[in-house]
Amino acid sequence: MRRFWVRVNGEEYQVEVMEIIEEGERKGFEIKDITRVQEGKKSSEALKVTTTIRSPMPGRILAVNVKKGDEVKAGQVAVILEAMKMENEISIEHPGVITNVYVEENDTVDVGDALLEVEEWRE
Amino acid sequence: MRYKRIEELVQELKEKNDVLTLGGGKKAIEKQHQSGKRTARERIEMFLDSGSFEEVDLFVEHRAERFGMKEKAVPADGVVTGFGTVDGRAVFVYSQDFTVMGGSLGEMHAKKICKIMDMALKVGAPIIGINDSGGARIQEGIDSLSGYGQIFWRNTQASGVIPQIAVIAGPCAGGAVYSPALMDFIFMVEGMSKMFVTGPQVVKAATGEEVSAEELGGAATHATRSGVAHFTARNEEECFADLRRLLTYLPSNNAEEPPFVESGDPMDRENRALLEIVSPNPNKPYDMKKVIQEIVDQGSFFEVQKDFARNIIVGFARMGGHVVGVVANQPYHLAGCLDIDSADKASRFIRFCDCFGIPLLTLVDVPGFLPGTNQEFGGIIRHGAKMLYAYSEATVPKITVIVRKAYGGAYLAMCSRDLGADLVLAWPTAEIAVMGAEGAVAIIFRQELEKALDPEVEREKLIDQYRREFYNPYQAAKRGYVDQVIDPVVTRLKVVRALEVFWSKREGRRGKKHGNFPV
Repeated sequence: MRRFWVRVNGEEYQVEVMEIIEEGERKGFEIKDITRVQEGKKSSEALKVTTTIRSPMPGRILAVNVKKGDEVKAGQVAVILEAMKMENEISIEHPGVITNVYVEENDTVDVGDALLEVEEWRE
Repeated sequence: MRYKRIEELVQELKEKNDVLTLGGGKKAIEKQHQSGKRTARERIEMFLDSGSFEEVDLFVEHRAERFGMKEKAVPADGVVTGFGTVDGRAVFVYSQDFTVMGGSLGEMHAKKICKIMDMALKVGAPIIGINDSGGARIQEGIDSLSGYGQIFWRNTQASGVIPQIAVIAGPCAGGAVYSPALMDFIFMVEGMSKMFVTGPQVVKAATGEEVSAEELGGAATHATRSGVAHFTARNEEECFADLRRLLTYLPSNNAEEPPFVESGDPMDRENRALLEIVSPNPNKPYDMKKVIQEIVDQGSFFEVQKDFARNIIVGFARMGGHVVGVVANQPYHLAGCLDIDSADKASRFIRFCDCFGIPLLTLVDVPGFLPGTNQEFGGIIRHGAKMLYAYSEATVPKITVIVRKAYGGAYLAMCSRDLGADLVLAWPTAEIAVMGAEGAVAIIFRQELEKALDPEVEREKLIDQYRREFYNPYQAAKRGYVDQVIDPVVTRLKVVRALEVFWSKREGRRGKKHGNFPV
């Protein structure tokens, strides 16, 4: 999947394109998605990816530092998971907005359980 | 008959050279450039010391006859081979030429690679393979297949004798992936390199899964998920710069010592920063990378597989100018637990270091093996065994520093005294114990707890008592499992001194064909 930013009549669009490859050769492209880039946002900020942050190991939630709608920064500690005698910091990888919080304090989680959903703004 | 003048002959040679070194021709080179890739020869130029390259086998031709091959010219048979220098040290290199029949591997193409590998092995110099190939040259049938087999066989013979490094600078699919996999390190370039045994079309046909080539076998996939790649770079320049840097840590062969480079960083530099980095509260995570960077010669840490199995850190560094291989638990990820991937990552690195006489520095803060069905079903037993084997087998100097937790089997696996560590240092924060206090109390004092009036209060009391008594480095030091309990501030000094003393260590091993390494 490749993404392109194109300008048509002064308006910017983000186009997601899938390469069609047959027998190792590129035969063409298929357009998967077109979204208009919002005004006032640079194209580099416009790419939104929804990601679910999952528990890396079984443990107990000690603290949830974010709530739905919070704007978060990369590196910010969102959840503290007690596991293997360690207060593991689960941090945000890309800046964005919290769109869902699936856990609360004292919940027991297994590896792979969803903790948060983040709409990330990727560069 | 008239003999040609020697000048004429030289002129003819020059013309032949000019034609052949153009590879697939100007148009194909342009196409290669348009796809953001350099040509095979440009890559060699960029990688080696300027002007040092000596090409061999430029005139080699294929001898295939069928499928229209008889009349087909395949300059240099699609691979550039030769030798040159990196920082003045000899290296051998082959670079597949995608402009010539898609860099496909035929009989003579493979023979050229084998020849240059044989030379590298004879000389005792690293071999670097730059891969950019569509795969087997189908027109040459099983001769092409045989070529891959011969390369694999040589990779195995050269393993542990000379460093072997693969750069994936284009597609590398099917059987072709296994030569890089048999080598010591794999470099990949983001957006350019693709490695898979079966490509997206075959995957789709066989399983119905739709996956892009990038997702299936791109640099990010192999750097983070599969662990196949050891280094990734944003572009070719960065990739070859990293490769040159890697070579500064490696001896040219297993009989040579790793290169010593005076770093100018005083060996007795105090590590006050460590007191800030590591919390004495064992439940608080910290970044072990900062500990490494503080201890080793400034700016010398060069991490390997940094995005894979991040719960363990491996990499090369210098201490007092001596090369060391660092293996360290990372409490920032998975609490620093050992698991399947981290055991694989560490074991392979330990074995590389042992092959090439690079001493091992192990930094320990490990709460145990990661519990869970996916770990047990995935075979953590046989994977974890690799670490025990690799450390026990290694005869290079082995220095261990226990920073904080060192529990149970994972303590043993992190180069404990019993696996042959030459010197074990522990900080006063070290907790060397058979298991966590809660678990230990529940087992040892089961009856007392059952009889207690208030089991909860009694339990807390016993845990506290047990912690104070056993969660320190002194129990282990009493038995001699720890040689010295040290002030963290002098960690660097202690390790450098240990390296300088144990440098001359010689340790024999029973003669045998080879051990049966757990895989």
